[in-house]
Amino acid sequence: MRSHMYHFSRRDALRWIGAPMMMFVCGVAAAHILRLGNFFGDFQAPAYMEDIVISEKAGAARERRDANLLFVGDSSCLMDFSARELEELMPETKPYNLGSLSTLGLAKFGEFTAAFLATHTNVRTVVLLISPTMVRSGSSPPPPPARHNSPEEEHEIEKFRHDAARTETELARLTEREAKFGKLLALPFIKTQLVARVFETPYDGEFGFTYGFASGVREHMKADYGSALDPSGASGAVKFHGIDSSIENFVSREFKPQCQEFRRALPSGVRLVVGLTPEPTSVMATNYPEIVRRTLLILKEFLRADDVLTNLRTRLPDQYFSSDTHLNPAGARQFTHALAIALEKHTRYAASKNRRRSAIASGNGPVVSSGRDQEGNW
Amino acid sequence: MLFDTPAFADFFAVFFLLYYLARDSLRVRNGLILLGSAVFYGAWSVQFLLLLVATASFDFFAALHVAASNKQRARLWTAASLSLNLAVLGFFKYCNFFVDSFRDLLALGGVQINTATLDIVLPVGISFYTFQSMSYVIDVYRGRIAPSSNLVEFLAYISFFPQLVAGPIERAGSLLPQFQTERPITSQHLKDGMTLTIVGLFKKIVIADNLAGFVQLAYGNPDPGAGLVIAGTTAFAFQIYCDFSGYSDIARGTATLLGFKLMKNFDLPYLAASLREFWRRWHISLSSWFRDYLYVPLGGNRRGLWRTCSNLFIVMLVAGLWHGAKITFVLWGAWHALGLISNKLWLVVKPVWMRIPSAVGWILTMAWILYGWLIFRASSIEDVYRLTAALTNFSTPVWFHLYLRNLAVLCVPLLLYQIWQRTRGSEFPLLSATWSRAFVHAFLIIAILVFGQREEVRPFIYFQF
Repeated sequence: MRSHMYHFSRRDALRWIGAPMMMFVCGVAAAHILRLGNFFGDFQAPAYMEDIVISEKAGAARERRDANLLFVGDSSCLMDFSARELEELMPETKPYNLGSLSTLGLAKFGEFTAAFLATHTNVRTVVLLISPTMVRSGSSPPPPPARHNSPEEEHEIEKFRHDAARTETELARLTEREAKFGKLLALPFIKTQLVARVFETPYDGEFGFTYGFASGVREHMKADYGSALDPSGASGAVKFHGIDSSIENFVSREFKPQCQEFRRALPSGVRLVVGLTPEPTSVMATNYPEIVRRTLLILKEFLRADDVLTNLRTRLPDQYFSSDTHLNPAGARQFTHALAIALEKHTRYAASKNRRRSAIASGNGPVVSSGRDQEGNW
Repeated sequence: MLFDTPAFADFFAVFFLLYYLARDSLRVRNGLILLGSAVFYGAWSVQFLLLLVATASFDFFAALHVAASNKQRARLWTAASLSLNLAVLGFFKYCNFFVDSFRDLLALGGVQINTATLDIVLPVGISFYTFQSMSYVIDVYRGRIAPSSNLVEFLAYISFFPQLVAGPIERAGSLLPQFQTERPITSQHLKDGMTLTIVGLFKKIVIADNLAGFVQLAYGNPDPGAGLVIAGTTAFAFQIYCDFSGYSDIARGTATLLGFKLMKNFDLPYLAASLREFWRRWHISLSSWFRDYLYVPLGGNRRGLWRTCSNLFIVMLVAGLWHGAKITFVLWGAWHALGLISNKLWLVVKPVWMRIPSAVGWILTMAWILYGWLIFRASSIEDVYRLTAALTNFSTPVWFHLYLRNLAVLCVPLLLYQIWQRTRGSEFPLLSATWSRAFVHAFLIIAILVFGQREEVRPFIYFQF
């Protein structure tokens, strides 16, 4: 007995399979034409935190026209304090946080700063706030290309490098066959340039609870004048490992040329103040405050800084950290208050004592309320 | 082997080619289906494949004995078959649950006992193929169908890979004859099969998998607030619908391409204006199974109002438990039982002149269903309390507008399309003309491919049941 009969003609089969295939090919061809013609400009799918930070900081020249106090630095500068809260504590200031990623390096920070200062003539003080980890590692990016690009071009090159590295990582997760297949069908373009304009998936875990979506990070940074939060360790239980914090291992030799490059990017007439973000108490030696003090003096020399924030807290209890270098939201609140106190001495802006007192009284204030912290270091 | 992976696409392409070559022999075709199903299921676990073959073979012989024996012996064979199936199901699915529940019950009375929890892995699809096999023996016992005398044919029916792991739970009376006769495959089969498969993949990969993140964001949030709980539950309602109905669509689609007709498992359930209607539209193969093999034997609605209500309660409780050994599933069943009983009582006490506008009925029904999904999705009773308490907290996260906007991008078009389907009375409006169908197919395929290149493949939700 026969099993089954195919009751359709070849023409039918062609019609029902061929027509969708033809449409499919047309759709893919259209996507390739759009990609090659660059019809969608430089829209980037806001998927990764790093992308968002870089593109947001690159566009910061359009933000906060009335800024008069600029913070620049690595991700600890980005995430360890709230610029909006700082403004509440120091009403005379209009801060903007240009903190980005340590991987960009000081030279790139200088370019971002120069671009920002070119459009924000009210800024008189730039605070370079970096983590001791960046100082230790030097975090030296590859030397700048011989050709002199504009900051915008450089930014695009950096973004391209970053995207390329990310794409490689992503592709590594797919099989080679899938990756080739995807490229052939313009799937990455469709996903990042077309679909991403109308739809984005939420973040997982604590980043999701804090920001929801990549656009949420952008909105948060806009609302907090460039600052962001690292919520990853909000639930605590972060384990830190002790590090060698002797002065010999503290300031990387590679750091000096980067410091000089950063300084060169700053226009004259702008005060440069340097500070270090805090480290977890448990991993630092007892003489750590002294090491920080000496480090800051070295940095002052490297950067030809006008002042250093020696009265800033050097350590915070471990529960305020979400990672080795990032404070969690509670820690950022502490550090913002500490920063306000420290800046009062080094800038012409005065902190609002009433607000600070009320913040301290409400339990939102810093662990200390004077220039000298509990460790006894300035 | 998951439907939404390249491995299945490769498998089906090879199978389809061999199936085409086997068109001249029914015996070869059934053998090929059995072999294909063994490969499909054996890719998960060879041991569980042997379990499937063993239980199904027992049912095959039991059914032969049932048909050949007198009433008393037939009853014995039926009881033996049901006992074996329920014992296997109970062991794999409920053993730890009952042991833990017993321990907790004793603990309430102040008696502490130590119980070792067995490390039992649930065979994929066991609830589905066991129910299919049981219904076969019961139908033979009831004299509704004649038993199959061909083991290969019967095993091919039980293990038919398109519907093996998550249904639809096909009745032997409907599917088994399709293994016994010549099946014509027309251009309509080709069209419908393609459309169902593509739509199913779209529902799973593009909608359900993307909604999973939205659901997790709401249910995993330590302090969600009413807005997020409601939106997250709505996301889950669409996720589970698209995940499960997507699977059913792919099952129907691939079966159609092979010339088989499987039953429709979902019929626009979220457009139901009452809970009774919802259960006629949601997981139809399971709800009709419970109706025919549990509700009706219990007396159905033939023994007065209170007996009807108690029967409804029992059936829904069992339906909840069918989903898994978890107290939240039982609660979910009880919640729906309560809704169905209220629905029933309302129809009795309602004045004849009174008519509830269907929009009001729909809103009430959806509210009931959504709270049911909240119970279903919660990880524990404590989680149900926590999420219910959150409904009184009206704060929303700052990114809530982004959540709603992106959720709407996924859900609103689907809802509008379903309203259109209902208005037109057609499963695929817009897809009658060649070029409109081609355009929609191409669009859906591109979307499937775009979202199909992902780091993690999420299994179908109903695989765990």
